[in-house]
Amino acid sequence: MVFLQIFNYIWKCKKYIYKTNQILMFMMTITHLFKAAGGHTLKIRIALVVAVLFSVCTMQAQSITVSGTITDAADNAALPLANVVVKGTTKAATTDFDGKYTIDANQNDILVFSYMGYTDQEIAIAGQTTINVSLATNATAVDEVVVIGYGSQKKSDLTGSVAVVNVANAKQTVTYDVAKMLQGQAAGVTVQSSGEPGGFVNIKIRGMSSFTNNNPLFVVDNILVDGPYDFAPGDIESIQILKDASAAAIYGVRGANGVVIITTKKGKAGKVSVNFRSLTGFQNVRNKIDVTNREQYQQITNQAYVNSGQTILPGNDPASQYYINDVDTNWQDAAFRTGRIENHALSFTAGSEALSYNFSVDYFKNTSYLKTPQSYERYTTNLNVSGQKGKFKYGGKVSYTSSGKENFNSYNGESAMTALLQAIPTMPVYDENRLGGYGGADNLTQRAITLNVIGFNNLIRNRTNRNRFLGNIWGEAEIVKGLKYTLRASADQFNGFNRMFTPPSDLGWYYVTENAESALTVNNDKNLRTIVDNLINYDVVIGKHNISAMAGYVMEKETYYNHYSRGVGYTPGENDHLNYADAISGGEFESAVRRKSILGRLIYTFDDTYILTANFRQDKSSLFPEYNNTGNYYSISGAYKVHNDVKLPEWWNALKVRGGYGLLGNNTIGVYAYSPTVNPFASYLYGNTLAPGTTVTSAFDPNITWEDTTTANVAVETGMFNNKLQFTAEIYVKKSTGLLMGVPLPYSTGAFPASITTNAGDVRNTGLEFTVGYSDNDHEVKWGVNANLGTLKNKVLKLGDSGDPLPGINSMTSVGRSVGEIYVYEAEGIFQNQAEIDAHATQPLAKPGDVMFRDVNADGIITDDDRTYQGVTIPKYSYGLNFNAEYKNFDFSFGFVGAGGNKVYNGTYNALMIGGLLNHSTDELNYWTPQNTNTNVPRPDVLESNQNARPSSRFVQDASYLRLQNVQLGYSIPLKDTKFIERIRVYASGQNIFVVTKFTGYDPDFMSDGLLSRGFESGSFPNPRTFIFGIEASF
Amino acid sequence: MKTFQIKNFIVLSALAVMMTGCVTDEDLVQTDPNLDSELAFWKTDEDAVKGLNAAYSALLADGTYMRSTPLLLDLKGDDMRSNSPWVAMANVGKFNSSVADASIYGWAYEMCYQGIYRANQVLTKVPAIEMDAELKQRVLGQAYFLRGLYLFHMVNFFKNVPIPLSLEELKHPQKTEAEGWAQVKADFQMAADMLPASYTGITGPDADQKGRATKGAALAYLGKAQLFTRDFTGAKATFESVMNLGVYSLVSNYRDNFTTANENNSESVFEVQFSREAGGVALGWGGIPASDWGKTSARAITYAPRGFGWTDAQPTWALYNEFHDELTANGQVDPRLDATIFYNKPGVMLYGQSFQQYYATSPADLNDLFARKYQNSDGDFANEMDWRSGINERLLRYADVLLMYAECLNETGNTAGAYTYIQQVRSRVGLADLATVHPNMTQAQMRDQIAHERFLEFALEGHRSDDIRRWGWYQDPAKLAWLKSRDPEFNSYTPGREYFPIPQLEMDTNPGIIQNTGY
Repeated sequence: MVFLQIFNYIWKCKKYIYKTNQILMFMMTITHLFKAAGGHTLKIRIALVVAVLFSVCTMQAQSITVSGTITDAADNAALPLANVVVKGTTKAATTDFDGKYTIDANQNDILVFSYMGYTDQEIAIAGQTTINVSLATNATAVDEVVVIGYGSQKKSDLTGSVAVVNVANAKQTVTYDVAKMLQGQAAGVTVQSSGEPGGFVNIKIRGMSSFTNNNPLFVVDNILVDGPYDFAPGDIESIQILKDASAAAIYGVRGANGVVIITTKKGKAGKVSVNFRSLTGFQNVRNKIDVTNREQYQQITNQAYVNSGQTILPGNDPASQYYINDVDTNWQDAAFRTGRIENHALSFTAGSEALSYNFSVDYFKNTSYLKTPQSYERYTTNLNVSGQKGKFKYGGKVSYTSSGKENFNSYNGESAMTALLQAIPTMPVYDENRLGGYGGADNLTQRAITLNVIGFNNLIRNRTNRNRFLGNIWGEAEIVKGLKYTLRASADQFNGFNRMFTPPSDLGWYYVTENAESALTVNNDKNLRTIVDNLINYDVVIGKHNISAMAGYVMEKETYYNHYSRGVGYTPGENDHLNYADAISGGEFESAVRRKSILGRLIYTFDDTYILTANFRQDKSSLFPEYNNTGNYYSISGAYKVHNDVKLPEWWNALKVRGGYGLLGNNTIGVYAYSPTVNPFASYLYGNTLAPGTTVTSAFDPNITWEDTTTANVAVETGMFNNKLQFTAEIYVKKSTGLLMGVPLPYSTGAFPASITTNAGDVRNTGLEFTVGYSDNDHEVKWGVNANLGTLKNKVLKLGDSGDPLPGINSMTSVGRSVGEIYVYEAEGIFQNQAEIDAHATQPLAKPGDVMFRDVNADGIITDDDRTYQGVTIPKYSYGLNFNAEYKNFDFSFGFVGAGGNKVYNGTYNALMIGGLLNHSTDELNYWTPQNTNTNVPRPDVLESNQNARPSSRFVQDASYLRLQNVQLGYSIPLKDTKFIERIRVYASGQNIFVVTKFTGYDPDFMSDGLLSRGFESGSFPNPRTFIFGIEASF
Repeated sequence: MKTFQIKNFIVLSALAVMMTGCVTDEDLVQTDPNLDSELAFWKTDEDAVKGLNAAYSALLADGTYMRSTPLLLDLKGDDMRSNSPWVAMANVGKFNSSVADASIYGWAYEMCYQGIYRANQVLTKVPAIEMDAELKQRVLGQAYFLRGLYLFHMVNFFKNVPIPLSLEELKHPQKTEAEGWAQVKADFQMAADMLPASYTGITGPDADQKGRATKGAALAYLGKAQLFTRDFTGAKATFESVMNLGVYSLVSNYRDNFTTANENNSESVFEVQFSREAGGVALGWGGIPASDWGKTSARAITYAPRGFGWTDAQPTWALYNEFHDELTANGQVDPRLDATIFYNKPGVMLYGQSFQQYYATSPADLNDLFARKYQNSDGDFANEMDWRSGINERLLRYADVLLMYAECLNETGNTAGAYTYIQQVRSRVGLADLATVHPNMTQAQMRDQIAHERFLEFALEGHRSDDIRRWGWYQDPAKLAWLKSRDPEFNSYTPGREYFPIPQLEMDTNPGIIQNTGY
């Protein structure tokens, strides 16, 4: 089985590599890298060529060769990949897997031995050729180096709020998307996702600070990217999340939503290491929603017809010749199947001091749990190269991703899941008499406008291919001691392709696709972003004063181009290429964005006790009019390491207090949003002759500018009992002003869309964040537990000039409340008789058995003024808990995630409780009749005379949940001969095992707009339960 | 030495990159290459005409005459009913439109205001353009007409509505119904004063173009607005000036008013242009206009007989029966019945098939009534399933001018004078002389006669619901009971619901706006 997979993988790699267009792409993108440097291509090219040449010629010096073994002082185990540096130089070596090293040095040099988590040791060579060292674990083992944006810093020196994600824990969630991995991994980070293979993932850091875009900035190997798409999570070495202005101000206008910094694996000098990982898994929908079967459906629908005074439909009438009693489709049973998930990866690491590399290939595939072609498949390659020669460091990255996604199709934007649940049981899945072979409903006998989701998605072919190249090259030169100059050119090129073909078909009445309607659309997208970073760093130590300064100049270009073609008119079975369409149309769209920024940072440390950090960034962007195009951002933060100043008890290892304040920006608006344009396609006709028409269709605000976010953050960090116990507590206030948003306009304005993008609104987010961890590695059973909790309180401070609330879907955003609170009618029972209706505030056309709505404003009539706020949709708290343990060759881990204190509007349940022509929830069976009065389900009425199913408190639910996100059991196979195979581990894991919640839909963690209608659930694809079997091997 | 040189070289070249940069200050100003700036528009006579065309094009969207507006007008009458599974549609004629679901009626609201916005752009920007004075007057006159026409629909459907007259404000306050009608009349009066009676023979880019608003169209609509506000004297004078233009006459074949065969004919005072030949084939429901939008109507598929479209709107039996009240002078059934309704009649063909054969296996359909007016059912098409009907929607026919004029005569005390104008409409379809059949009617009898004549002449043309309301039948218990007996959809009428609710988005975003009573 395993060998089959390996073989399978290699075969796929071959297929991949031999795709010539991709090789071509590679070449092209390298070219773009050079283009990124604008008119200075030649100089840079020469510089690089020289640099490479330089790295090849070896500098000879008088020296001796020192070798030895580095071991752990505690158990004398060899320490592989430990570092040996000749003090005061950049000469370095790394131990091999047996802890052995060899290094050339001068006789009177001093060697510095270091290993992460261990205390450094310095030993003078003094003529020795063999130096064996045993290193002791460091009391402050947490002192790893973290990437902070245009630089790095020791974790203990951080003054801003930076969450360092435990990548091992995060990776236990097998997913295509990095954002999904972060769920439950850091306090204050919330994730919303759906179970659609390759679907979008919504991630927010510290609440909602924008009405247009709350997605954080992702920085992958120093390249700024807007979305976490197209990266193989397996390549990731570290993830840092910058949460406050103190940390993120260096990203200026991009930092307001937080920054996720991802670093992929780099090569290490040492022997060649090969790692192989492979997993395969099975996915199922965890639960089903109870809907009525044929008889129950017909009973309720007939009652709905009777109640509205109409004759029941022939298909549902046992007395009719058209009565349907031979079809009883359970659409969930018909649609669900076991989906597959696969991930195989191979990586090579090797190198010398002059050049080391990490190369990886990764294959991911996920097929849907629905019997439709929907799937997601991705190939990724990533190459990181770095090296050093004297005072010159250099490196680069090339990553290429090619993915294919078969998309779900929605009819008029309706969710496929909702349509599936609403599909009537008297419609067959298959019907060979209809064009296309799938069943449908009939106008006369069934009347329901009901979509055969299975047929619809199997007939339409809708595929998106994404090809993405991400790369950079950089060089760093130490000009004088402590002064370094870095030049980096990055390119991020995305090519997208979508092809959607809707063939002629007959899916029953209303869903007929005539030949003339049959259509093919082809879309080609290309987005290229190039960034040139120029950075100068200066580090100096003067006595107890430690100063680290950085200044930079960044230029960025982004261009987008889209070309689309559309062909309509195909006969059944006709070649579906564009050329065969009866009519072809097309068009193109392009846009360009230019940015430039200057940035700077100063870190001052006194005696390793007091630390002060200041960040500054000025951004200029073409997204705004010239007179508004500059934004200045800054932050100031400080930390006080109490443990270095005050004598703490023996067991108390570390105590640090830090705090900061700063200003961040957000520029997420559409291109050209400020400039009024005219639309030339509003044409009319006279007789049969087209007459071109031009008009302004949209409303523009010529004065739009950046959103600003200020954050204040105070935290306490502490470590106890040899730092086995770590605890951090943090409080923050994040205030965003001048939020850009599409403010809804009255239809009477006449603009389309009926909204205007403008700076209108202030929002404040406040919260507490706690992280606690305990680990015990001293005993045979090694174990650790990490937990985090974030609270969030969101409050709208201002909306526009007038303070008019903003409507969302069944929600309202208003001053003094949180964004997107549910705003609906309040149901207060069922009218039992006419007397109750007469006594109640007027509800025109209400009859006994209809829902009674509360007259909130007591004006004697139920109107839209009687809608009230029915709940906060942003979770008041979210948390994660991860546990892992090791015993001998076994390892075990699990992780919980959860959120709570929020309400959602269950739109799917609403859709199943209409009591009309579409299928019903089984709850609907308990509908009111004069005999069945003790119920909260109203009488069904196909005409909805009382609008019983209008948005109301009937469909508002508590969305708090606790999910067993993953559980994993691993076993490392004991190997006798470790010469070839280093390690083999096999494991089994489960994801999304159970959820504790009162929410009655598929999944309380659903995809929504994440903004004004955040709490509106409307048929998001449920996150599946997944079982995975995997193997990891090192050679 | 070597190291030093290389280092310097790198530093220098990097500094060069840094100093000059690849993003300049000029780069920071980017203009939209995809669309032209408004700043460059509204400069020439060509721009003026294009701006005006755009104001017309709002007539073609889903909310207006592509689909929603005919439904909103038709379904509330006793000539039509809906068994649509689409609750928002089925409830239009049942007076039960939901405030929470603005489908259809809200689309009409949205689209008419987009039309007003476009007309206001013309009225605001064109006066400053240096161009031929006569052409400018025609352009502005049509813009006034269109603003009046869209606003007519808004007041007629929604009663107290905002009246945007400028581009300055984003929010326009709600006005009374009376203020609304006053503005409608003012706009039509302006249009009537500025427009030519015909585009035939004029010079300019609009020469000979069929479908543009004329003086006659503006006057006829002005008269209609006067009639709707019970200014019978004013309306009478206005309709007289329409007739005195001498450009209108009834076409001999009644069905020529509802097919592509004889569009923009002598009877047509104003009609919305649709065509399968012009524009692309995409369905231009609404939104941001695209180059591939077609110029067709979805009315035919929506109203079509079962099997040929969606059958969302069907004639009532009351209409079918009333056609049988009076035979023609030759003793035949009123020929307007067969032009209006498909029913179980030997020999009737629909879409090239025999009605009786097609529905032979489906008795429910065989004995039902289906819309025939405005259907492409005469044999050229197999069905309406591609959504694209090219039949122009006749908004105002000369027959309507004649019958409205007759009504004005009757209401202003000249009942005897009404006969002449009613008879012109009757004679076309071979009905006997009314003065012989029903001589010497009282004013009240004549009112009922005019109601009967209008019911049959304009069935499925959206006039009945307006008539019922302006005649006060909703407030007349006897008339309301009679309507309920003819069309059970009236059973769920409650006071105030002769108007549609103001859409929720407007309620939520326009401060101080008050919802219509009854919702």
